Amino acid sequence: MTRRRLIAALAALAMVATGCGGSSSSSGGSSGAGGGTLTVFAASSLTAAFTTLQQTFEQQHPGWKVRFEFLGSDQLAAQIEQGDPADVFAAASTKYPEQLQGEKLLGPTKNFATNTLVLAVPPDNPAGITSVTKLGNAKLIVGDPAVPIGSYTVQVLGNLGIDPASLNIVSQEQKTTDIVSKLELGEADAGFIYTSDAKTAGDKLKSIALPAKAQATATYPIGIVTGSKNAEAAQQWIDLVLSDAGQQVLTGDGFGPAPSSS
Amino acid sequence: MIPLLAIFLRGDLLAGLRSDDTRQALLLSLQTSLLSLAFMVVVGTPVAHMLATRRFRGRSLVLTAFELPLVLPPAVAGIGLLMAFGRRGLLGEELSFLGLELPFTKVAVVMAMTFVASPLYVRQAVSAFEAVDGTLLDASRTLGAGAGRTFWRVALPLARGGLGAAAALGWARAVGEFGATIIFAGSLKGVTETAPIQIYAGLSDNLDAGLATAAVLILVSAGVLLAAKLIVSGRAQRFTLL
Repeated sequence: MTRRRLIAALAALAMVATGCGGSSSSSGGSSGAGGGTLTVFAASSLTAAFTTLQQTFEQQHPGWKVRFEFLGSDQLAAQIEQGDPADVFAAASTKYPEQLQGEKLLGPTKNFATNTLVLAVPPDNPAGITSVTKLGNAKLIVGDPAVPIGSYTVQVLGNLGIDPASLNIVSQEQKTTDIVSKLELGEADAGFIYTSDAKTAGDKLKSIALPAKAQATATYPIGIVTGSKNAEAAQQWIDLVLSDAGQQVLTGDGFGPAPSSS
Repeated sequence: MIPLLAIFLRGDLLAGLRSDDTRQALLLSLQTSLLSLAFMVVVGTPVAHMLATRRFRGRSLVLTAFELPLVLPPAVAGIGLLMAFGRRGLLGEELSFLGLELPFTKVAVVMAMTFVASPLYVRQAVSAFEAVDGTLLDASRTLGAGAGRTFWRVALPLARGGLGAAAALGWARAVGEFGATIIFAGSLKGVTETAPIQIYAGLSDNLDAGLATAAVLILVSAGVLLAAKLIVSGRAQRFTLL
């Protein structure tokens, strides 16, 4: 008897443990004037821009709080697939939103920004890098090819005719913010990051532009996650991102305008 | 238990086990964790013996300092290692003068493991030495054996069981190291991508491989815990026979 009770208690505990991540987003109840918590899953390259927009949103919609999860787009997509209750998904690539739409987990999306890549080096440029074609034996940090920044990096290197195996890559990170922080600490000589990351890093990093013909363009789509309990607020967040004010913040952070066909 | 069971029930474990990522990561984890264990045992055992047998001012302070990494988040260990041994770290200049750059290397992986796991070993080893009957050590000394000989011939054999259990726990903790490693050593397949990091990376591109690695880690950890229990209870039985 006690054993059965123990198993029941453990099962309940497990349910609590797995469900706790999302309890806050449903606590808002019905969306709209009442307020609540909007959960936005966003690619880590959006950290600075979305954090700025968070203040605007919370001022415009009193009672609403915006909670973020900034990770690699692929990890966010995997979390949504596993049932994490997100309201909005903003990715650094069209691949994962399309994948989620195929599984009926994400509504229609709009492209709201683009991004390009730069080669970033610590301010004192310890390896004296002047061009992406002369990387020599410099220690490089790149994104894991499975995450958008990594796959764009592979694309850029391909456009330049550089074999990644010929480079001295010391780490493959899961999100852009990890590449940025390790470069800022000066632990590696160079890394490929988004133009927007380089812009937000300010003088903590120096960027070396890539030849235009080698450039890869990242497209950022945004959409409402199927089954969101805060669909109205989610739409308001998307409207803010697409509005002039939102676009201004994004351009200010180094993002490019959304492709016109969106 | 449900999360542990779920790992065996979701995904294709056999396909995951055949993946290169899984094999590479497990092999790397085995290699680095054994190196870390060797370091823990060689350096940690004399330290533990000293802490167990000597009474000196500030002993509890020293013990606390040794136990600190046990309760700290591994991320603290990671950033601390980076600040100390990174290229721009406290000792970075001295190290690069010697031609050593530690971050993003296997050495960094071993250092992260050792920093996080050795306190567990030392703590258990101190208890093992403290459990040794002091009169036996005194007898050895009065019969003319020196301190070194007493350590090797009396204290060490008597504490063997406890030290074995300490090594098992320390090794298991080293294998499980994640937070300090990913900060200090980064992640590169075959070089610094240990089993726990491969599980994390597998979330994005190869879930089956991550699940297979997780399943292996569960089985290995269960084996280690069981072995540690058997060693300890075996020692207890020998004591009752005495």
